[in-house]
Amino acid sequence: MTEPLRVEGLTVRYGRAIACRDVSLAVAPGSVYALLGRNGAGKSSLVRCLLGEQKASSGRTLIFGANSWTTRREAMARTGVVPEEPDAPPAMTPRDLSDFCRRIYPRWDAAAVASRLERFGVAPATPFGRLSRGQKTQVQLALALGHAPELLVLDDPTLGLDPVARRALYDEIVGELADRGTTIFLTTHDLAGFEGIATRVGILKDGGLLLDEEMEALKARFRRIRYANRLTETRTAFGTELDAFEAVRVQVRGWGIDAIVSNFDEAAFARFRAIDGVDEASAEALPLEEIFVALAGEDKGGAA
Amino acid sequence: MTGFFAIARREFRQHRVVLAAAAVASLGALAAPLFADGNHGALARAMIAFLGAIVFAAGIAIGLGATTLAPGMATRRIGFDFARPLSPSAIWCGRLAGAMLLGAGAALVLWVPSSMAGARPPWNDLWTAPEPPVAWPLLALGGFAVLFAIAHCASLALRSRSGLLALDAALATLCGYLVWTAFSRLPVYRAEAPWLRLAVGLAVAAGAGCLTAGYASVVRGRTDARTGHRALSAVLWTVIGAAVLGANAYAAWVHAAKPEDLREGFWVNSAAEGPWLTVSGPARGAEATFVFDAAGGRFERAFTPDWRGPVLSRDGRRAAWVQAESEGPYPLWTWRLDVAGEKPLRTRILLNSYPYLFVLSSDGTRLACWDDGTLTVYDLEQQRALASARIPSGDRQSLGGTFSNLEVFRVYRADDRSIDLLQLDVRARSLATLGRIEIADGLRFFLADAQGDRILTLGSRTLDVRLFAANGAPIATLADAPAEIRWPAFLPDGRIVLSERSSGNRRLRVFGSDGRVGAVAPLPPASSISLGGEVAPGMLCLGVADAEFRPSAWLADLNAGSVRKVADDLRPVTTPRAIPDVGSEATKLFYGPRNESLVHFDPLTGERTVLLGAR
Repeated sequence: MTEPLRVEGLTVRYGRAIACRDVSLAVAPGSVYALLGRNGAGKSSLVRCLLGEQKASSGRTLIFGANSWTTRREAMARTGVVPEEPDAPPAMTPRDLSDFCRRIYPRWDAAAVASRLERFGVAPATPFGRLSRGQKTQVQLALALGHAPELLVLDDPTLGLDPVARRALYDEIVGELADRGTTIFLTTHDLAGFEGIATRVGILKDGGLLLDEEMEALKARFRRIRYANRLTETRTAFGTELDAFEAVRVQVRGWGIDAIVSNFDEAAFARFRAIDGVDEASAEALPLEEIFVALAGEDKGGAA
Repeated sequence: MTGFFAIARREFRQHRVVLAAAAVASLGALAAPLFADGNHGALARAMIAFLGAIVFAAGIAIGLGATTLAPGMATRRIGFDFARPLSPSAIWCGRLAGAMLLGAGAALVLWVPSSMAGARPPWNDLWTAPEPPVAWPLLALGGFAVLFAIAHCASLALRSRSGLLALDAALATLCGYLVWTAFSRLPVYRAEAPWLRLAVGLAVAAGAGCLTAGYASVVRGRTDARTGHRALSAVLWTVIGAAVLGANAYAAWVHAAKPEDLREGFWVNSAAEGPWLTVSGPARGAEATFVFDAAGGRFERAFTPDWRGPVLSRDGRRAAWVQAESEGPYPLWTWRLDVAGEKPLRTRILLNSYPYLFVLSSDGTRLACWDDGTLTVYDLEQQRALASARIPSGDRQSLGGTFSNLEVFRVYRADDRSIDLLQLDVRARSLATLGRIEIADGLRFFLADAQGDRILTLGSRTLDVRLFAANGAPIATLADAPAEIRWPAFLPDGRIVLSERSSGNRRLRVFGSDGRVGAVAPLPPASSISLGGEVAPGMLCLGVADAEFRPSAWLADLNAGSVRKVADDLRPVTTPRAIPDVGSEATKLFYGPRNESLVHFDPLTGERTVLLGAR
């Protein structure tokens, strides 16, 4: 089966600045791919190239096996898009927008769109420009799903949404997945919200793809290890006891060491606990946000 | 096409409020007669409605061109369209079509109510009605599309905030300069066709350039304004650059016309001696005038500011003309024709316009000019004025003149009943009145001989022909019996010939230099007869047009009093005013069939050579 989405060696330059550097990834049918990255990591540039809205400096993006720059029109017939910034004409009402899309898509489900808008609580006769940020995103999501797309691309869809609107959005996406198995590619800063939905994760850092992995595998190999260390004289430093792990982040706390490792396994942890001087060692699973911060953040970097 | 129509419809619906504004404006036009004086009311209504329609449509084109696409690209809002299965063509053309529909709709809303109330397009009050009538709506739509594209291009260039803007400005300046050079290369006189072709060509290229550049910016840039700007600049300056270079090539081609390019409508003046002549006619779309050596083929194109071409000295050794190099004053150019390899000379003498009277002395060393009431004689060797005098001339007066010798220039100031005979003494710098010729029955025209010593007059009513001395003293009456047509001319030896038609019969009469009656030769029936040059002593060439105006060349033996046809389809170039020397080249120059060629023809031997034009 043709992959709904594939990126091959994508590089995007703006003058001398590089937004994306040799990025390659693929999204399997029916999966939910979450592309994470801090602001300026190159997510939106990648999405624009993916949607055929911007020409890549090198490399290519494929939607359903076809170059999305040269066959954008055909690709968009099978794709729904929710942009980072709501971009529908501000003077048009959601009803007008649905009517406009009805003329473009052969299989436009105006009733479904109206139904979604009703669920979202968006007035169909209010000009798009007068809607709140959250409502605009909801309108765009309703429009993106109006032609029952095989691929849904969401560029940071929860940006500016309140918790209720965010929840409605998740429900809609989950419903879409449950109903039709739509493939979803999204970029987001709302890691907690999509943690339960995404099946695969990619992390962009400084334009390069730092990680591209199944969500379960990712979460399985990342652990936070906390322990007190008698081996050090001052309890403010740590020694070589963590050498068995790939520690992506280690912080010395008042009570001991707080480390995040990316190759956790139980056997290695058992050996670690047995090391003389390692006291009170514990390992706990990490939420996606913690993993992201550990990988993409700087010393004090928070979630992007 | 579905996407195109969807976008066009959306564009129209989004901005349809302008139709309401147009409707309000149309009420203003309808009410205009209430505020205008009597007869001006209808015109005021037509003007307001018509100009309002144009202004509205243009405003919509510019406004929508500047605001619908470029800001969307700069803010990436156009991504809404690019996230749909819409081709860039549908996005660009749909928006353009929607805007055009809106503009046309607004124009109609503004115009139709006034039109129903009797208003008509104010053609002739503003400009001539375009032909055919369907042309103006098409022109209006084309102009609308171009305005939309120009506004889009300008808006995108500004909003992209790209360094390319500086390059755009530099290229625009360069193209502007190249447009100026193209137009400045074209002749100023009777070059309407090349000017129009150039202007229309450049306008179409600019319009097409803006349209294609706007289209390219959307196709290549999509949601990236800077990439769009790059595509826009690349296409725009390629198209416009090619157009201005093409315009310069075209202007250079028109400028570089040669005598061989003359095809029809020849107009020739020849020197009384030698092979040099001036020849004018349409060449490469513009009127061209050349000083041309009929024997050797050398030539120089003269760019005169009006219909008057260069003048040649009687000896054929020098040409002079006023060259239109700028708005004026114009420099006087001279050319030594008897010196091989000599180039035309731009003299220091500047003239405000092409002088009404522009006469070279027989040897070409002096030039007399009369303009704006002042006669001036120049020395062309020293490039300076020698003498000048005020000679006022009224609206109904005409001026003629000739060098009697290098120091004396004679001026004939004529009206419909008299000729004032004046003389400027160059050395003494004094103007004298020699006399006055009064023609009671009215003066149709007059001729002076080469030195200005004798004057022939033709009466306007009875066509009587009289001969006068330089001071106006009557010498002889050559003909005073009623006639239907009479044309007199001087011959190089001083004799006079007179072509006349009386009681339906045509004849050629010859008189001595003192007016004494000489030979008479019967002429063939003709619709017109023109007098040519004397190809051999006593052998005068005639141009005869038959009843169907077909020309033929005839030869009159002035001594034997006989005439014979020597060639069909030829008409002598020279005129009685030129008085070419006997047997000179000028006497053997003829206009060819349908005036499409210049032919060298020897009436005595029948030898014929096409010099220029159709062979």
